[in-house]
Amino acid sequence: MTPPGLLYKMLQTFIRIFIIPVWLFILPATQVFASNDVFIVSSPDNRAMHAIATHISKKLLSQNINSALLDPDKSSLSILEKADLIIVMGKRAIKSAIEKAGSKPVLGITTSALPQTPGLSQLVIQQPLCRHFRLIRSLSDEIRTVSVISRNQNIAKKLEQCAKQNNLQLKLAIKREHESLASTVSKALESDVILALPDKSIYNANTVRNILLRSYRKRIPVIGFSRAFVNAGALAALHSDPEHIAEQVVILVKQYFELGKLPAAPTYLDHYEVLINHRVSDSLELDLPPEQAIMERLKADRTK
Amino acid sequence: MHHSRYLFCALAISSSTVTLAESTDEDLFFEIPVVLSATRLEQPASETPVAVSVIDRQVIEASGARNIPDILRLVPGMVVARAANEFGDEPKMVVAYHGHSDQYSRRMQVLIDGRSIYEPVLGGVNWNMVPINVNDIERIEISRGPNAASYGANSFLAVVNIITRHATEDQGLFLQSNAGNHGIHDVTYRYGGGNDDDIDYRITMTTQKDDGQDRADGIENHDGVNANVLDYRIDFQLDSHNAITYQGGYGLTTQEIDQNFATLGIKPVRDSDNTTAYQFFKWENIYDSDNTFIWQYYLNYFDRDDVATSDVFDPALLGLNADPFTLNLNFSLTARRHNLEFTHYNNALQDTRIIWGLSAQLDDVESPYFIGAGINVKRKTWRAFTNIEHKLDRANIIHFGVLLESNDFKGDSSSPRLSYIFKPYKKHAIRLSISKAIRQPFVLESNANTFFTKQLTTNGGPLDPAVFALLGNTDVLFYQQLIANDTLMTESIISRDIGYYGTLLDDDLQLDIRLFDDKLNDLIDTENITYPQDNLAGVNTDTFTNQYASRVRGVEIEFDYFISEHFRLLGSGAYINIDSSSLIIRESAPKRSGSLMGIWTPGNNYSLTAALYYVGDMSFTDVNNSVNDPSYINTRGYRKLDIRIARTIPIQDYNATIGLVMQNLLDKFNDFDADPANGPLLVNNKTWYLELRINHK
Repeated sequence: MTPPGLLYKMLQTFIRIFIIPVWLFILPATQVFASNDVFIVSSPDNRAMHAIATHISKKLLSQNINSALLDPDKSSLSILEKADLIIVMGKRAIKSAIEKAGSKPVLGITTSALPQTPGLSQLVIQQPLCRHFRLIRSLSDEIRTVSVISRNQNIAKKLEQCAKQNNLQLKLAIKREHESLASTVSKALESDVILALPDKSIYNANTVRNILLRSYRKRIPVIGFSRAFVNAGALAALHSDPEHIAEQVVILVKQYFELGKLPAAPTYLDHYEVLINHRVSDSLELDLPPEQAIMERLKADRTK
Repeated sequence: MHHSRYLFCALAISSSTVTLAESTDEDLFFEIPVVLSATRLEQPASETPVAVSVIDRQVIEASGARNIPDILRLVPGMVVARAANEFGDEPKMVVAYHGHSDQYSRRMQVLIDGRSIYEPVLGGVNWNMVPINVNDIERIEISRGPNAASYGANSFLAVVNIITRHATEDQGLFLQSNAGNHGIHDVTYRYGGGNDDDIDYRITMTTQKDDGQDRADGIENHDGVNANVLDYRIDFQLDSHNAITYQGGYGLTTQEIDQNFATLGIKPVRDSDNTTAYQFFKWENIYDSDNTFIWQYYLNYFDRDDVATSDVFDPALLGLNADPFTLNLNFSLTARRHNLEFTHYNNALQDTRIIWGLSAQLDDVESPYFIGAGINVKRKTWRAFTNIEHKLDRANIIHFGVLLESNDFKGDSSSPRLSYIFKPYKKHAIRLSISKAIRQPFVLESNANTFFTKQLTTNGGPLDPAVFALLGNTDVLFYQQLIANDTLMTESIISRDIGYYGTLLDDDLQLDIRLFDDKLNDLIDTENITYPQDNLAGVNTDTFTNQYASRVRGVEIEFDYFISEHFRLLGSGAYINIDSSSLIIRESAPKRSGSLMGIWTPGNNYSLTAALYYVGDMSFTDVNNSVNDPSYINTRGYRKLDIRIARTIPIQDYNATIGLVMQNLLDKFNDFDADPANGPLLVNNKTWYLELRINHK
């Protein structure tokens, strides 16, 4: 290769790997500067949250609201001061973005509620506890007892309350420090269903295998908390996919632009669906109502 | 504006609710491999195309059984017996369904996790040498009736499918020791572990020892077994779509063999050393929610080292002037089976489930005694199979299955099955089914060449001319015991049944009733022939021929009743009537048999199990070869009562269980009387053993 040819090749490579991505990243931000709309702070490392952020961005665009995605690990967040509204994905990003946001309102998308902070509004994307119990009640009137495995005794009161509201009896299996998870699961298997709640120390890719197999052997269905859980073998779950979450964010954003404020208290997802693993229900010979009927019952119960 | 206010209210209502505190993004979003895949999910009992009995983990544990056959006594229509050393053959446990069985029970398929353990040379399964520990079994499914479309060839009268536990279910330490009378001394050590991520494993080491049955006169018989097994399983989750299971086992079994009734003394009192090993790989690819692909390969290896010298034969006892002599015997055999199988599970169509697959198998066997020294028999088999389940609506299900087989020893065959299930109510199902299956002759039946030869002398020199002339002008004694028959055909069965399966009493009672009508044709048995080269006067040669047909009709009932949280009652009963031109086949199944097992767990970790079994008069088909002599119908009806009492004591992360198992608590009985002319030689008398177990919770 001749020296000019080599120089040309190097220039081309430089443009490809550096200039174009930077330009592409800055371009939407400059558009935001022009219309003073929405910044979405999202780290691509948090893949699930970033996928939701992408949906939010698209959904906002469809509503003619400009937005820009900012990677908190690569961009200076001082730019946030120029936004009208900041949406931040995930707890870690919320903590760093809120310091840089100044007086700008921040809508944090989080898996569980953070302590209330001035200027921070939260959309919690985990399903509310009592909704899981409503789901169980909607699946069958024959279910009497529900086991929950938890490391935390403090949750008992909230769970009891939800169970009682739905005429269910709670069996809380506390995972004590010195105790193996298998022993705790054995205790949980003394009920009609197991309700799984997000806690990676209890439910992770490895432990779920054991829990699902053991519960299936005992013909005790597991109620999961995600689509992946249902695909893996849980009987059912409440699930809000990125599209649902994006829809709810857009409502909040539009509400902000109309009313000039966001809810101060954490907001919980109102857009969700019921997922049923029909192969599991068929195998266990469970006679479940159709998803639509379950949804209707869930919504009806909520309004009581 | 109104719309926004409404939403604000809705959101405000939602915000009064709570979630789990302190959960992180990772708690909610993580990849989970498919655990309850199409291969792992059981078909509802009310929708299976054939009658299926399931023996689950609780029953296996509660029975206290040391071996698999003892557990199978619960299955309606099934008979378990101990064929102990009759005629110098090795002792073995026999599991037979609907009769038609000799000590080898070769008309029933047995699989472990889809791996056939059917022994290709002599047929059947030697249960003393199955490299598996009862504690590693999750459940046993028994298809009652032919089911070749699902389980492959030789799934003839029934199929026993043993399903072991996933390694993740057996984490931590497990120790068990049994000690009791009859020389029972077993030790099992198992450890299960993993890397807390994608690998789970378990390794089980077992040694089992007992001295077998006693003679009716109370003398200890030479039929003890010492089995040592190393068995392991590794489950590797490659990613959320791919999982690999690798299992292996290695067993060494020393088997005492007596000659008992043997009059010629060809098979002497001796021990045989048996090596059983296997390797099993399975790759499960869950391509998407509708498609799962399975590749599996296994190698079964069996080697028997059984070399002996016969008793001394003295021709003078026959008035012949020849020197006493012995025969050098080599009953050893080696069998290798390679099997490669591909299966595709498809659920793409809403109401139709399709399973299809292909398999190739190579059996490679050697046996100097049974098929001739230096002869290596290789059999290649290719199979294609499919099972299609179509739900016409909630109440009507059709199953169609077929197995097509081609092999290089008996040609092509097909085994179809058609079932219709009518479920007028969700919990009640009526099944109509018709199926055909074949049984390929095993290697001994199609390749037998068993003979004895000996050069005789008189006073150490040339043979006496009179004896020389008697042997046909030769000094070489030649006795052809068994010879193959080139025209031997496969056996076939056409089975029709009507079944009812229902769950009653608030789902606490499962009831299964089956009426069956099976027609069996071309049944293979030995037949005496004159073998020209044979010069041992008065002793016939046997060959295998397709001799009989039979018709088996009857009814079976089975129930599993959870009477309360603490008491479970299981029962089975069968009435079997066999028509056949062969008396011995007519009598090969008990007309009436049944079982009743109660499992009581009163609390405080106590457990009490009592099981009562009844088997009516019957006869195994290898009874002294007198097939049409009523006096040879032998094994008299018997009852068997087993009790187990156990208590589990939790100690931190472990459970310690101490139990006492008592078997044969009623009168002593013989369940395999091979020579009624002399009366039962061996008996099953009271057996007891203490069981001590420590396992990680």
